[in-house]
Amino acid sequence: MNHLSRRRFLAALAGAGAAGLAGGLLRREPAYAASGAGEQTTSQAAPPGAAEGLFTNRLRLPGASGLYAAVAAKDVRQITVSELNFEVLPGLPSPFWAYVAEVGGKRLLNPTLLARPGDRIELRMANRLKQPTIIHWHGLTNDERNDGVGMQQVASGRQYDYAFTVRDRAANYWYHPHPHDIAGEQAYMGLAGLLIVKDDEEEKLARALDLTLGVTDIPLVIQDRSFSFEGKLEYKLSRDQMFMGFLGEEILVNLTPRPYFDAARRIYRFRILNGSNARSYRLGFAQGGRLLDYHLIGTDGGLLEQPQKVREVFIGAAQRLDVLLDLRVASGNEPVFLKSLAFDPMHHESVDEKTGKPAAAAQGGADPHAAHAAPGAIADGTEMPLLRINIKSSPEYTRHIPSQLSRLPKLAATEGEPRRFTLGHDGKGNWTINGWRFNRHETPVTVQRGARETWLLQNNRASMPHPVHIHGFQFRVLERRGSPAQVTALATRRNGLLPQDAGLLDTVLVWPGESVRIALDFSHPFSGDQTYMFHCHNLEHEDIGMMIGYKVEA
Amino acid sequence: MKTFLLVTLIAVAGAGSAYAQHEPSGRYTTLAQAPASGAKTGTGTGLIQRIDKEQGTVTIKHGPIQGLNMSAMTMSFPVKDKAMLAKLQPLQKVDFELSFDGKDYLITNIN
Repeated sequence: MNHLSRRRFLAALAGAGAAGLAGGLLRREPAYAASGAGEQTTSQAAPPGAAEGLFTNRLRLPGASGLYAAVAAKDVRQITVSELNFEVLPGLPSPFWAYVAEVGGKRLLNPTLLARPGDRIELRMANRLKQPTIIHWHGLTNDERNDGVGMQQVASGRQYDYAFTVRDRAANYWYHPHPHDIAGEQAYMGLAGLLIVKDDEEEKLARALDLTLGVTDIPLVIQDRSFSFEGKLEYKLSRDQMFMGFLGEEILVNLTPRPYFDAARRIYRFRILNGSNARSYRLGFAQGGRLLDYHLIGTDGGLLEQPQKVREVFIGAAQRLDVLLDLRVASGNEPVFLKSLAFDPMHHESVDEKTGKPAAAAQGGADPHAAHAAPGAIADGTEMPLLRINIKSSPEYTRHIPSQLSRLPKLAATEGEPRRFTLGHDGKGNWTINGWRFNRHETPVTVQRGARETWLLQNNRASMPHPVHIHGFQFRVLERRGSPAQVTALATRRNGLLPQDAGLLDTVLVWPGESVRIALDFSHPFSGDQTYMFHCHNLEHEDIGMMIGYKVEA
Repeated sequence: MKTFLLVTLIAVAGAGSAYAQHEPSGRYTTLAQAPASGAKTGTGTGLIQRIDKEQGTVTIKHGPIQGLNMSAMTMSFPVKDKAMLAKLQPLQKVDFELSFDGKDYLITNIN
């Protein structure tokens, strides 16, 4: 807890004292104790809701029409950014903002766009919101104009034409709003969809494991949301949340509250997107108190070379994990839960100036959850189930995970000192990158087209985790230093690298005190200077200016 | 900040008192406590957050409660009969009647 938040907490206690005069009392109890990193089991306590069978809503899946319907991206001519009503909670219509496409006489909401490398996507975005917006194609290599950021944002009632070729590897990309200052609200109100690029390697894997999109190959979009007492989506930021990021009261998977999914005893592929504004998750699959092994097969930029066996993986906002879960390893028919395991969210890290140690530790283990958890909100780092997987009887399944999945492009070799970026805050409520805040008229960093560079992303210890997203180019992680113990415990390779660091990324979660060295290759086919964004994908951080423009000079 | 606002609201409302509690689920809620005076009945609308069949309580994020001068907040209330909980689900929108006998709050009807 930093000094500012401690003051706020004390203020709350003072308020409690005042209430106490009228008979009230504030009482805090500890959140779930964080389990040790790398443990083989999960909390022995039944997950909230599990014992009561409260996961009663069937998981929404991409269908032929409606929400998440899968459609070839090249067949979409227009996406209308719309305000409509949608039952996020069963039977309770709520204001909801969606990307609406009409294809083949069907109306699709936040469609799952399908493409192959080389496909041409030409579509018009029509803005029917009451505020400006723009669609960003997250993870794709595009020129500045088609990348879609606040520089091109489109006023209410206006439209914008995209025309680009899919140049990237097969992977799970996504599209979401990227206007200046208001991306958090727009994403929160519903604007997000997947863009799945498939190629021959993908199809080979699908054949090997007999996978079908929407049946045994399941996209999972994880988001946290809060609702009014009438069951309507509610985006109200407390002062703390403006600074720390939004945390909701419910975790939705594919916009389904408390979801379940009926599964056969076989291998499933889950394409997981953390579509939350700010929340991180430590994902594991648990049956009773036992964590199951699963395989990480892909990241933001597509398939890994080989599957990585894991039991838990962190995922920050905007990141994607592609995993295989073999339900043949589950015992009996007890349900399996996709869970977020307990972790220290490190939201209030500060440094004791005398000892140089984290202040929370110096203060005898102050609860880092305390100041950020608004009433009703689930504190970040809380152990919780996300999805119940019911195991049903099924025909025999004898497929096995291939040992080789893909070949990654060779790592770009660079020499010399890395370009350094420090993530921190200015003590005045602003998150910064090298002390800079976003200014649309400035591009404080210039790189040369075709250059290979190493960037060092250094998060101050007095900070919080930042999911750093770089537009325009995918990158590889070379090294992690100063990682917190809960991250180091999951490292599987030299240089502190995590299993997901074996893949191509467009977003990397950098923890307080951690330095992450990444390799970038600024080669692209676009002539002329191109300006891209480099920012924290905690959307409230982005909205208050934790973003810079960088120029790729032709 | 929300905690501060919540506690301030409780102090201002004066409709009995409350506990803000960080539950094991990591959530903060408010528990109904013995009020100060007078038998009253109120009606409210809300969204169920949590059901405790063993304790016979239901936690509701509710709007203003008419008749009890209670502001919108999230509170846990006992129900008159535990059987009333059987038909309830988390995230269900409910209308409920709340009685206040001068000592305790009690949900007498919920659907």
